[in-house]
Amino acid sequence: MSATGAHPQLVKRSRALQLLAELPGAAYLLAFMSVMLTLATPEFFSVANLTNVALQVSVLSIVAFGMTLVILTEGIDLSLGPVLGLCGVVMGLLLVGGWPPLLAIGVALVIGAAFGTLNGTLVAYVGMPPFIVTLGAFGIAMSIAMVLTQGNSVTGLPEYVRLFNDGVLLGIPVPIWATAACFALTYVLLYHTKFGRYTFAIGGNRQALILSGSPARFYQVLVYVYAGGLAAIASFIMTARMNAAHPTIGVGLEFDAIAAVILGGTSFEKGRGGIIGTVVGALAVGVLRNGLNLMGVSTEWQVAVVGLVIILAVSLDSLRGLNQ
Amino acid sequence: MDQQTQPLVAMRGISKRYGGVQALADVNLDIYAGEVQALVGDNAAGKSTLIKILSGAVPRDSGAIHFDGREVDIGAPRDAKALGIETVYQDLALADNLDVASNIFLGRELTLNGPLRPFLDLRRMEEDARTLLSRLKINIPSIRQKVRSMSGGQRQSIAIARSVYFNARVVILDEPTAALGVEETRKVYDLVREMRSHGLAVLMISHNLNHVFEHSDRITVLKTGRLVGTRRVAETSRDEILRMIVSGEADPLPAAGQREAVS
Repeated sequence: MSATGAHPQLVKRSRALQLLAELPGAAYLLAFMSVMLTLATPEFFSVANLTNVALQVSVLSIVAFGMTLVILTEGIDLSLGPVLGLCGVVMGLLLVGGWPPLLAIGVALVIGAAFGTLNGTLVAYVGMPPFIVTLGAFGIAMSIAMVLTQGNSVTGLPEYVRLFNDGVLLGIPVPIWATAACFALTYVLLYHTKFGRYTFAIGGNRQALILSGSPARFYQVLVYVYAGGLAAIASFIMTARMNAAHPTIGVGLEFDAIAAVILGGTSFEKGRGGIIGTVVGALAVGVLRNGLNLMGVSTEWQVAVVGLVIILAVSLDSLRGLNQ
Repeated sequence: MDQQTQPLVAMRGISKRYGGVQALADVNLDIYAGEVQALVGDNAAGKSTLIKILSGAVPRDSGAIHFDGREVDIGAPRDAKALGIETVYQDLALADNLDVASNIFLGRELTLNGPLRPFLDLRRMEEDARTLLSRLKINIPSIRQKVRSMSGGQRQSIAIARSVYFNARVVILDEPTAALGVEETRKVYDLVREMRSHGLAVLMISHNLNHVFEHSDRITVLKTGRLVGTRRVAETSRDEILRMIVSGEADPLPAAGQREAVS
């Protein structure tokens, strides 16, 4: 049993202290890095740079929201990065081919959801390990994207595509609106619907959910479908930012998304965690990368640093007893 | 049958085979409203299989189940729940990462009305959970606390309360106090008594004969999938039940016929 279980009245005494103690490693990491970067580089704490961080974090956040739900069910979705790439490529090709934008977006969403259905069905109904299933889907999505484009970027997109990234509404860039909307949607689904309740229950005690007579497997598939759908939405922003669709642009994004989820305090076991931590986690990854950029650390080394930070943060959480 | 009251649940000739193993062979079991029925026997006696058949978790090979005098078909947990048969499984009942109210309503969440139907009615579930716990005299500090941080006894109480909420008529308890301390065990049996006084039928598996004699009205003994016999607690002794468990043979019944018929 955890320490909190032994002294409930002690913990109850100070709700604020308890919250502080339960903050994921990402919160401390984010605070620490922000202070250090503000001191080290004058550029960091400027509106321009912070907006830039928020923009860079938007794609990652949206993917990480879906990843959070998957990990809460004790699953993982390695395919979200390549699926994002594939969705972008398909949307790009259709737009270049003169399709109406809503239809092109719709097809991309269907592709994201289709990969989710494939992953979720194999996991929930066939009982395969999520790691294996989504690793397979990773390869499939990447291959299809490469075949469709012969490995080239899709360029010559219509002008309005850039609005997904450059557009500003009420002084706030569109990607930040999109991220906020995806967050709100995920939050409401997670805490105010059966879908969210069952997402937690699948991770917490899948057998109990099945014995309660709920269609647990069906909801488990929906979780992967939702994650795939969010990856498709993220692909619109990504495509707009690059003003082109690259078949491999998403590869590696699943790595950052998993990092954001873990840093945000969501555990791989027993469905512990939540969506708010993921926002903090995504910001931490974003600020970390931004800081490394400002300090002139090469992209190649950044991946190693992010990896190191994950291990550090998770081992710290373990020491504090958060992951037990 | 020569009983004064009709059983709420009557299981007749229940058989179940797992591959080459005969888990249950032609077992009869009656459960009465307002009574606690204990199920005892060695390991592999078939106790768990029998309750899983009644709760719909395991399909039976043959035999019939009567509920309230009518023959019913229980093929899935949903069917049993529709009849008001609720099961509290050992260690399987709760999701640790959800709070008390969420666990009580797991799988049967209340939703808002009208256009807001897709959304959970969190407030009503919390209120109902609080009312339920106080009706059953269960003391839980906070309804919003995650179950993970609670003691074994509190968890078991929540699991039992959950089974009672949905107009249960039969509550099945699989080793309800196996992992509990003395004080917590006492509280769980207080709860069992509370349910019985509300007219519920309780079917309980237990390895502890002291508990069985103290808290149940009837005892049914199984051995290697066969029914050895059923005795009223008031009319039997610990020695007799022990003999039945070990030998698998029932003592000859007294001629008076006050005891239940044994197959």
